[in-house]
Parts: sequence; structure tokens; C-alpha cells
Amino acid sequence: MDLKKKWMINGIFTIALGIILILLGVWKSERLQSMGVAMIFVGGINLLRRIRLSRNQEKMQALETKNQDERILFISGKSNTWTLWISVWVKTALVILFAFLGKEELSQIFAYMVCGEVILYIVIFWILSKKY
Amino acid sequence: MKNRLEELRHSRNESQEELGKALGVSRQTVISIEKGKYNPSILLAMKIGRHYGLSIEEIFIYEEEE
Repeated sequence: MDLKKKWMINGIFTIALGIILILLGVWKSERLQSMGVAMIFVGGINLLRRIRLSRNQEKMQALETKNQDERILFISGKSNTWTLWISVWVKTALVILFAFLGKEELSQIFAYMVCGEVILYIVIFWILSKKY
Repeated sequence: MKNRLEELRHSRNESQEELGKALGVSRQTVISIEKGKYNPSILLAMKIGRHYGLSIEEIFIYEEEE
């Protein structure tokens, strides 16, 4: 995907999520409201910074190359796998720890998270295996 | 997998930056390929071959693991 398009989608998504959080915040919790404001602020700043950057042809060319660089994509894939594994094992450890401490509700929440992540991984793997 | 990329690049007096630009990859990728740390995709290997007017086999040397 074109880098400018990617930035635009990211920016719009962040700002839209911020607006949703503000609306949810007005309805339910103030914390969500401040999260929404922060998201719009960060999304807006990022969008402005990127619009400024996109005027510089040379820098844009370098960023485009980096964005599509196959080594970076390869590392990114590896990094995602490692992150998933570490996250699953840390959460599994927390499931055991909280169960050991008698905090069963917390232990259950983490157990659901681990199961969810593993199922999601299998589903995504299955979908991708159909495509490739 | 070994390769002759560094040797070929030197023979043309090209910098890693220039080669990266010609192939559409970063300088770091060129460095990693030259050092044998990263094996390029078939597409990139073909681009490299086309850039030097050689076949993939003339640039990349596949060594069977013992």
C-alpha cells in the first residue's frame, strides 16, 4: 500500500477511535473521555507531521523504500511471532500465579486472553494458508 | 548461502546506497545480503541478477548442509 494512503488511513482511524472514546466517555466513564482526547491529539499531531514530511520528495522516497523493504518486512514478521509467544507465555505464567494467590477471577481473565490469542493465531494461520 | 554481491558491487564502483536505490531496498538490506545474514527473496535475487546482467546461480552459491 502507498505510504501516504497508509498514513491517511492510520490518522483517520486514530481520530475516529478518539471521537468514539469521547462519546463513550460522555456516556459512561471520564477515563475513556481523556483517552479519546489524547488519541485525537496524538493522531492529529502525527497527521500534521506526516503531511509536512510528504512535501519533502527525497525523504518520502527513502521512507517508501523502508516501508516496502523486504528485510524490514521479514524482521517485522519474526518480531510479531516472538511478541505473540512471549505474550502468551507471560499470560500463562500470570494465570498460574493468580490461581496460586487465590485471585481466581484474575486468573480466569488471563486464561481467556491466552485461549483467545491462540485461537486467533490458528484462525489467521488457517486463512493465510488458504491464500498462499 | 554465499554470494558475490560485494565483489560485483566493487567491480562497478557502486556504493551500497546506490545499489539499494537501484534495487528499491535500504542500504541495511544490501549490507545484510552481502554479509550473508539475510537471504533475499527470489524477486529481489532476480532484480540483483538483472542489475548485473547475470543469472541468480552466478551470484548466489547454494551450499547443501552436511
